[in-house]
Amino acid sequence: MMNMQTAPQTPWDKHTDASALSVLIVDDSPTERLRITDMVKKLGYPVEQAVDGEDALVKLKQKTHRLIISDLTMPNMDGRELCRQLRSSDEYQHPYIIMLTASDEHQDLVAGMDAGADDFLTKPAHKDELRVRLAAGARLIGMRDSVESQNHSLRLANQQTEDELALAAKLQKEYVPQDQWLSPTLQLATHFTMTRGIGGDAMGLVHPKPGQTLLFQIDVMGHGIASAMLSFALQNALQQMLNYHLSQNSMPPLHQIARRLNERFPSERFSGLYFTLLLALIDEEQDKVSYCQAGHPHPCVISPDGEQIQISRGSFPVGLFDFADFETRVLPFKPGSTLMLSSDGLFDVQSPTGEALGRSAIEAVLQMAPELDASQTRDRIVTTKRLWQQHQPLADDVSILLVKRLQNTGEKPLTPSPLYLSMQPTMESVSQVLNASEVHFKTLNLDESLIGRVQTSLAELLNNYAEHAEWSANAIDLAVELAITVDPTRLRVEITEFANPIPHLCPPKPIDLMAEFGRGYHILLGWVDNIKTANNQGQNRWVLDYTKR
Amino acid sequence: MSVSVSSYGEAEVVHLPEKLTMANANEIKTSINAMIEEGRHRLVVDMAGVNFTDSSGLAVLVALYKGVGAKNGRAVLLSPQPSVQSLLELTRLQELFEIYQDPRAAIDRVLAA
Repeated sequence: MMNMQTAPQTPWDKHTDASALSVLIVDDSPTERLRITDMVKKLGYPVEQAVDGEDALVKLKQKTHRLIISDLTMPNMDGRELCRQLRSSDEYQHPYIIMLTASDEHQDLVAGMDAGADDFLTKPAHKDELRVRLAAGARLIGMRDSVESQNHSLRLANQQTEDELALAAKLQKEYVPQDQWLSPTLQLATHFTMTRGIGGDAMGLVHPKPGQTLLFQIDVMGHGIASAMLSFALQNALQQMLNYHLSQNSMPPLHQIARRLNERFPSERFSGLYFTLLLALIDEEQDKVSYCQAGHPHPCVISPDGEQIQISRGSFPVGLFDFADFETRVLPFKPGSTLMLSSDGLFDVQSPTGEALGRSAIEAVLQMAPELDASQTRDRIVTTKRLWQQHQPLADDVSILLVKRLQNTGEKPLTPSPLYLSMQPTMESVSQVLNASEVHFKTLNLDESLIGRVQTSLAELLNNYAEHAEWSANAIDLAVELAITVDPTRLRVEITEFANPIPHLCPPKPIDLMAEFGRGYHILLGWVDNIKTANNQGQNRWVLDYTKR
Repeated sequence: MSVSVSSYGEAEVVHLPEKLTMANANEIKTSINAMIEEGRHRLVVDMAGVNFTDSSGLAVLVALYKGVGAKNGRAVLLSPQPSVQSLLELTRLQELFEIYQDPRAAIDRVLAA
């Protein structure tokens, strides 16, 4: 045992207990080797010997030595080469290497240190010098081990937190309503992205009566874990409240529901956390939607002719003031109308230059809603958000409930649901789209040769977009949508370009594929049975039909 | 500290930073609360520099409103930018605060209280 530890003992001093570290002594001269072995043994270290570099590597493969004392000049493999070998691989656990040199080997010493030796000793080595050099090595090893073990614990703890957050995020997502048909003519599409996987947004729905759907959206102040916990509690409380009223067959006016939540969840009780709320009751029989807005962004209602109703009057958030009053307002909601509820995180999405997306950009997208179904409109909004945000992380949680009321009598088929994708034309997204379509085709039980034709032609077409986008400055202003439908005789792929409608970006120039495509267009004809193209307001639309053979 | 304060007699003008969000809201709320506790409760909240705020930022204003109210003081807002103004309208907080564009008038108002 050595006696040179300083009190108090730090964690990295633990290896200064010599018996815990073994030393490999490498020297071709038996006399010198035995002399050093003897000294090191007396210092309390377990010792093994090797006759040259090659022998040392063999010994180290059998047993780990954390400390190595090696002669510089040896036959077969010298000390420099040994160092290089030991440093080039993780296999040897980065031993501490002390190089033994003759006093006239100055140049070789430098080369040895360059090759990775940690320290040196001039021959003949003295006992005291050997002791302090070994102790320094042991201390360094101890320190390194301690840092590594702390890193390991931190990594473990971090991983555990990440795992738990991921699990919580999964639970939270379970509560998000899926895309679905709320009635034969009412289609719902949703979107939910939380900044930390989990977040303060929540949404849900109930059906008070046939023909009626009540939707709610909650946004708890802040984002992250505390907000998520309150939003979870709120969602359950509200859902229970609504279920109770359902069972009593008496749904109170929406503003009364808000008032009750305002009483039950004062922010003082929840560390100052308050929330905004939107309740919306769609009544298909009466062609109307009533809503109660509490500090939440106003609902967007788009009439069948694309008009949007502007609402200006605000309302207090929930939980801040016991005197807050709320009101229920009514808007027309005829067949062909669209309703969007969203948390303010959508409008606050920031561009890389720090500019907020804003409501007007989203309203521009919603102008197209009468032509689209709920999921298409939702996808366009999400694409717009992504185009705006680019690679910026989200600053706030974003949730969207989008309801499209179709013109009566099922003018759109309810099944089969088409595959619907929107993408920015990049090489990466092309392969994602192709993978998604392949998965979709498998569920449709299509024959291999048809899938092959579709995939090859899609790849050809989309790659052209992507290649074009790579050198086109306005590429981020453009997105491509694909809708794939199948009937008994054919498969149809519709591809629509749509331009980023954010007004303050320069007007995008659509890609003229006819001109760009040239040769590829004729290649396409080999796989596709019928190609129709249309150019509407400078934007291309492709309809590719593949006949089943 | 992310807020700077200038005093005009018994009136304090609190200048809020460019961004008022979850990242700095708590710190600002704490320092304003401390001021109010010290008896400095005639506040002009200078919003002119704030170009972005969110729900956490609104919580700062609400805490300030409640804190000043409890001390029988007064707080008014000075020159909020349009994006902040529309958020104040959406949440009806503009009804709780008098909003001024002229600093002198705002200071006179809180001194008169």
